[in-house]
Parts: sequence; structure tokens; C-alpha cells
Amino acid sequence: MAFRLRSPAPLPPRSLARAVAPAFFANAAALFLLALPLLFLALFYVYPLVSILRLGLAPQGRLDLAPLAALAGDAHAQRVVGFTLWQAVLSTLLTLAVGLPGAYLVARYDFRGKGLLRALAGVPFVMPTLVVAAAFNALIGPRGWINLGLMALFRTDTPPLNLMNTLGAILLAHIFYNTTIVLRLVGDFWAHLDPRLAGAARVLGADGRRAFTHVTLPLLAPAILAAALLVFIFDFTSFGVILVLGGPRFATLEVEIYRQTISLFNLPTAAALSLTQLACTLAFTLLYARLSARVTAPLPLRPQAFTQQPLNTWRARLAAGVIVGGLLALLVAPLAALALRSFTRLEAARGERTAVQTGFTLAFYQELFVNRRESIFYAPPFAAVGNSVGVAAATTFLSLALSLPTALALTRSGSARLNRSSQIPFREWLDSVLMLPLGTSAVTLGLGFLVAFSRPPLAWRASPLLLPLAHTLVAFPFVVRSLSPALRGIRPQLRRAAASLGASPLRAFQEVDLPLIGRAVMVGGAFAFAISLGEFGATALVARPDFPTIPIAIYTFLSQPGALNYGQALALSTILMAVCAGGILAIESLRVGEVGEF
Amino acid sequence: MLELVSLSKSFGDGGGLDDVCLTVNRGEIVSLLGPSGCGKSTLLALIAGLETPDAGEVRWDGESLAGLPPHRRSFGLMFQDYALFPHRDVFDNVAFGLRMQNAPETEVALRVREALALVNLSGFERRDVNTLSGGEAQRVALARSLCPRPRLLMLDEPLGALDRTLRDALLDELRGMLRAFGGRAQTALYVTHDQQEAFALADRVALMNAGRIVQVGAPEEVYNSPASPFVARFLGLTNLVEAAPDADSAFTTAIGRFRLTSRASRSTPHASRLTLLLRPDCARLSGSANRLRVRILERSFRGVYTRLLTQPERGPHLIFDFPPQPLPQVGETVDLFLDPERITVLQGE
Repeated sequence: MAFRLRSPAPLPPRSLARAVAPAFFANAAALFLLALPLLFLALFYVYPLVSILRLGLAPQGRLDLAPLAALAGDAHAQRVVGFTLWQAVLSTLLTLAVGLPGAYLVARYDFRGKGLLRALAGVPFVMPTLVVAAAFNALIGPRGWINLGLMALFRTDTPPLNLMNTLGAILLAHIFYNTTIVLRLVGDFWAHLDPRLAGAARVLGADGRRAFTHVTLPLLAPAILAAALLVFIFDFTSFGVILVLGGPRFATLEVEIYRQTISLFNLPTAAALSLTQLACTLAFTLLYARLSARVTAPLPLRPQAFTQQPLNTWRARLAAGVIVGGLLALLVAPLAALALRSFTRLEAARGERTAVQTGFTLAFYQELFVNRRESIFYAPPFAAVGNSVGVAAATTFLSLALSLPTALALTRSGSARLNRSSQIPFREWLDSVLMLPLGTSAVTLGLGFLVAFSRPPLAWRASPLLLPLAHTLVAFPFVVRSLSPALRGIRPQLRRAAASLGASPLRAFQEVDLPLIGRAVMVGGAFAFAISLGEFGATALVARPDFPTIPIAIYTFLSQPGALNYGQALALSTILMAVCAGGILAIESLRVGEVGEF
Repeated sequence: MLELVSLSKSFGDGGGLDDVCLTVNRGEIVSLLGPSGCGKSTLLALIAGLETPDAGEVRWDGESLAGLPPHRRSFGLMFQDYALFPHRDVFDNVAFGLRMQNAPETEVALRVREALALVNLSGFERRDVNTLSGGEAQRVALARSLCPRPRLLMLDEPLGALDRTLRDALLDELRGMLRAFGGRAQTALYVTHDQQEAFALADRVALMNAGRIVQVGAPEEVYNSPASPFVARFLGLTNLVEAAPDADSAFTTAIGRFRLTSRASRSTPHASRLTLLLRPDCARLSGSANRLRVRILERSFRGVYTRLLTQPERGPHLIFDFPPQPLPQVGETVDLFLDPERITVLQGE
């Protein structure tokens, strides 16, 4: 999901910067660096997918298109595909409607608290789906704050607002999730778009509206389309939100794959669904890659300082206030509701018929440390926290170990001088291959693991490493994406300057590359950690029942009745939210340069 | 002593080198002068060991450096855009080379301070290099490349990124800095496309064009007897007319017949194509030899001289510079007399 500015200081064409070792050696070195990542992808991405393929297309060992054909003719499957597309389109349009005014505000105006707004908007993006689902449950659910307030107001004991298990709840959660993508992708691009272009149109006689539609909008279009497509992909593969907020009435492809696998154990149908899903997301991802390439096309981009102005009229301030207020309400309210609710005791059901009594309590948190006999856990629920942290640490290590050589190979081979034209296909081809896991849904990945590693030759189902490996697959593209811009940003002359001052190549890497990408490594590591902590789709299929992670424990609590279970789900969600929010805020403060990448 | 022996390097996209030979003596400053794209930077990359030549070799004191990686050559290289390490402060940038030699920290501190004093940046030790002005960054880069006392210092357009005033000021200092550091004269190879810089700094100038060295010599020598019309044109001597020799030291051209001094014409090679270089200061308003009728097209005052753009009856525009005196007005047609001493004959066209 590349989104970066061109190098800020273009080098003179004939400078030393272009002179490097011959391309052959650059390619050989790149392949050497890539050996491990490619092996990893072959074993843990391609092999599981091929296993699904085999199961879907040839369950008895020979080609059999019956499951696919049955699926194509099945009215339920058609409804699922139709709903998946429909809700994704709707969510995307609504997200754009909410995000674009914010993007404009962030791009063109400079105001106090903008950095905080940006950082806050990033928080939902790393929130685990289950936390988001639980948060919306705590806000708009039958026992959520809004209904509690309305019940107290109208003195009734039936919740007046029935948003749970409706399309509305799903859409709301999707907007909450993805608004930050629009803010970032469009806002960042817009912020660096030279306002003099619109100015030139004004001078040539265009009024404000026409300058916007004839100049600004066409220039922004690739960024808007790229953001929309990315939002669409995320909505299309949405899993936890649909499962928890949609209830049994709604199923996307992703949810259906999960149900077919876990509830019905109908693996061939699940595989056929996965194939459909895979084909769609791959098509969307390819489209996205093409669009984002156009975003990086040369445009007269300017540093932010030249493109922004203070809010100096009361109308501008009012509009900014409305936009910021709306965004904050959308982004902060559910999370605040979640945190607040996890500390609140509600006594409504028994005894009194009227309004609920509320009070502060730590009971839900205390309960996490208790191992009840009737609990499905063999250990106290809090053990899930330990499991998650362990898995996340392993994922962080694995992701960095694989991403660092990958990013190095991708960026270094690109700087070679000879045969530049013949290198670009090699690099772009690799770049897309390495990004493939990004376009593959997590549930499909989980299903692939389940199918591939449950039987010989690679019967690793019981291995404790399987879960970190699955998470690494999900995190890997993100980590590569945070490392490569930093590496690409290191001008080759710095390494040459080090060499000319007597530093060996290894020493130059230590002295120049490592310190310069240190922050990016931390950002990538934090991403991997956060992704692993919140990962639910693949985990739901891969995790063993005796080794639950936090999201699995939350889902188990949410799907069981009773205030205590619900409270514990919220308490665990709050813990997860705090960790993830801390992570993303740390990333924000570490983010290198003006324009980040997703 | 640096010797370049028949260095060749080809690239698919041009900018290669073809049979380059050059010697730089110890303590000497040689300037590589040429238009952009002539192969200057490629040559530096070959000497530094960042590139491998297709043919020929680089020698130091008679010993071939083939196969020796850049960091073991003890050659300094100052980059056009300085390439200061953005994650290190001024002191640590300058100290980098010494630390690569594992010099003791006390010596590092001493020599960094010495280098910074030389470039007039004492007190800048702990400054963030990202906050330096262009001129300051340039000095830090110079100090950094000088500090490890390289046996050869290569400077790649070191003043190229600076504005004109700063450039002139630094040009004056640079020669002194190269001469004074560490109590010895620094052997240096200075790459530039600016003839003023090359002439002001260098003991010898090597002119490059299209991957070849076309003339080597002291600045005066190169300026006074350019080896080819290309060199003349590159040095800003643009009054060039194709010529054919006839009897008694005279040459026939499209704009008239000119007589040279016998000394100038005796050295004339008998090549098929010859070009006369009429130096801008060769024109007089009175005299007898080499009369040339021109119309004045433009007149511009340049301080110590006034420049006239003129049109002879046939042929290209010619430019002549005159010391302060009453001069004809624009539009007038006058007779000019060209001093035979200031006309040179060149091979080629």
C-alpha cells in the first residue's frame, strides 16, 4: 500500500549517486536476502492456499467442480456474495462521506491539536475487530449507554433503540474502522498538493467551484480511488464486526467460510467459498496496486508548510469545529463507552422493575483472574493475556527477521545503475508477490493452515509456533511497508561517503543504515505486535481451545449469556484496547518523515 | 602519486569513459573540467573504487589498486550534496573517518577540533547537521573528508549547490584550506563544470569531453592555447570561424582574410580543417591590419570592459570586449582592426 513522496531533493543526473556495482551482483545479493522470506511464503502462504485449492477443486484427488458448481447454483451462497458486495459498497461510500471533509480540513488547515486528531484517528485502525464489536455493543447495544440513557429518560424497561444485529450497526463499525484510511491517504496527498495549481486556475478565470472540479479533484482522484478501494477491501473481508454486530442474520463470505468450517465442518464448501473470496480480493488488490502507483506519479508536491493556513475566520472555525467534533464523537465515543462500561455494575434484571442502578466496580477485572469450574477454560481467563503477549512477541520477532532482508532486497536492488530497465519488472513482480498475503483474507489463511498442516507431510497442527506464523503472514506486508520507505529514504551517497571514509560495507550498514531505520524498525515491530494481539480471523480457526488468545477469549465471553461473561468480555477488550492504543500512539510519535505508509 | 592508465568504462546510457590517462602528483591540485555528462563523476567513482573499470587501471605510487575496495584506499571523497550523516552531529560527522581507523578518542577530539578550526566552524561541534546553512554544510563536508588525512582528496562539484556570492567567498578560502591542512599540501582532484573555479583552484586543469580528456595543462596554458574549438567554446571563447591557409601566414575565412603573427602561424598544423579563434579582446577601433567591417547589434557595460555584439557583412555574430573608451553606438557600421597577436589557429571545427 505504497504512498510516498518522491525523494525530496532530486539528484543531479550525472552525480555519483547512480554509480553502483553491476546489476548482476545486485540481483544475486537481492535473491540471497530474499531466500528466507520466499521460503516462508512458499511454505506458509502458497502451500496452504494450494491445499485449499485442492480441497475445493479436487476433494477426492481428481478434478471435481461439483462443490463450486453447487455453490454457484446455491441461492444462499448467492445471497452471501451479494450481501458481502452490497455492505462493502455501502460502507465505502459512507466512509468517504465522513472521511473526505476531515481530509480536507487536515490537508489545508493548520490548527492546534491536529497531530492529536491524526493520532486518535489512527487508533481504530489497529483496534482488534472484536474490541470494536464489543465497543459498539457497549454504546448502542440493548444494554449499551445510549439505550440505558433513553430508558432512564422515558422510564421504560425495554431498550427503545434496536441497532444490534442490523445493517446499521455493521456500517457504523466499518466507518469507525476505516475513516482513518481516508484521512491518511487522501489527507496526506492533499496536504502536499501544490495549492498554486488551484490558484493558477483561479487566475485563469475559474471560480472556486470550477477550480476544484477541474484541477483539484482530478489530481486527487487517484488518491481518493486508492483509499476507497482499500476501504472496500477491508470491508469486503470484514469478519469479527459482522460476526458479533450482525448476528446470525448476516453473513459475508468471510463469516460463511468460518461457519462452514467450525460449525458444519464442511471443508469442501468452505474451500470453494475461499476460492471465490480469493479471486475477488486478488482482483481488488491488483487494482489497488495500479492506483497507488498513480498516486506516486510525479506531481508538483510541496512541503506541508507551503500548503496550509491557519483557521482565521469564524466560519472556518465553526466548520472545523463541526468536523472535528463529529470525528471525535465517532472515533472516541465507542471506545470510551467500552472502557466506562467495563468498570460499571448494572443491576436491572432482578428485583426492581424500573431504571437500572449503576455503580463502579472492578469485579469484571477481578473475575479474569479466577478459574471457575464451569468456565470452559482450564486456566483463569487472564492466561489469555499471557498467551497473546507470547504470541505477539514471537510474531514481532519473526516479522522483523523476515521483513528486514525483504525490505533491504527491494530497496537496494532498485538503486543499481546498470540495466535499470530490466530490473524494474523483477522488483515490481517481487513487490506484488510479497504483498499477496495482504489481499488474502485472514479466515482463508486460517482455513489454509487448518487444511495444510493437519495431516502429513507437514502435520504441525500441534506446534505452538503455528499461531505466530499465521500472524506473521498477516503482519509481514505491513512491516515491509513500514521499513522500505525508510530504507529507500537513505541516500546511497551516505553509504558511499562512509566507504570513502574507510567504513567496510558491514560497518557502513551498522553506522548508517541501522541508526537511520531504527525508528522504522520500532514502528514495524509495534505494528506486528498490535496486529498479532488483535488478530481474530486466522486465530479463530488456528488457535487450539486450550491456548486461547485475548480475542478468542473475548469472543467466547460474548457468545455466552450473563452479565458476568459480558462484563469480562468488556474488561478484556479494554485491556486490549489500552495496549493497542498505546502502541499506535507510540508509532505516531515515532513516525518518520511527513508522509507515512499504511 | 595517482596514475590513471587507459581507463575505460561504458554504460548503456552514455556517460562512460574512453581511454583516460592522467597523472596527479603529490601535493598537486588537478581540476577535472567539463560539461555535465562528460564522465567526470564516473571517473571519480572509478578512482574511489565505487565502480570497476572495463579496461585500464588506477595506480597509486606505481601500485595497481584493482580489487581494493573503496574503504581500504584511503581516498577521501567530498560529495556534491555533501552526504552528511543526518543522524550524527557535526563533531561525529567529522570524526567518522578517524573512528573507522580506530583512532584513540583523545586524538579524534584533537583532530576534529583542528579540522573544524580550519574551516572556521569552531564551536559548531554539537550542532545538528540538519540545521546547517548551505555554506556551513559545505565546510563540514570538507572538514569530514580532510580530517582522516586521505592520500588523495576528490571533490565532486563541492560549490555546485551554493549561490554565487557564497561560492566566490568559499572559492578564495578553499585553496588555502587545501594547502594548509595538517601542515602539508593536500593532493586533490577537483571536479567542476565551472572554468572560473577550476582556474582559481587548480595547479593543472584536465578538460574532459564525451568521456575523454581533451587537454591537460596549467590554467594559463589551457586558456591561451586551447587545443580544439571545443575547448575554446567551453572556456567561453565563442568567436570561431572556419579557415583555410593561404600564402604568407594568412587565412581565408567566410568573413574575410586575416593575417596572424608568424609565430602563431608557424605552429599551425597542416590539418584539413582549421578554425580561427578571434579572442574577444583582439579588436581595436584604429589600426591597419586585419580590417573587419561590422554593424553594432548590442552594447553592454560590464564594469572593467564594455562588450559589443557585432554582425560582420557575412558569417556569424562576433563578440568583442573593449576597455573604457568612446565606443560606436548600436546600429552604426564601423571598421574594426583585429590584433594578429590575439588570433589563434585551432585544429578541427
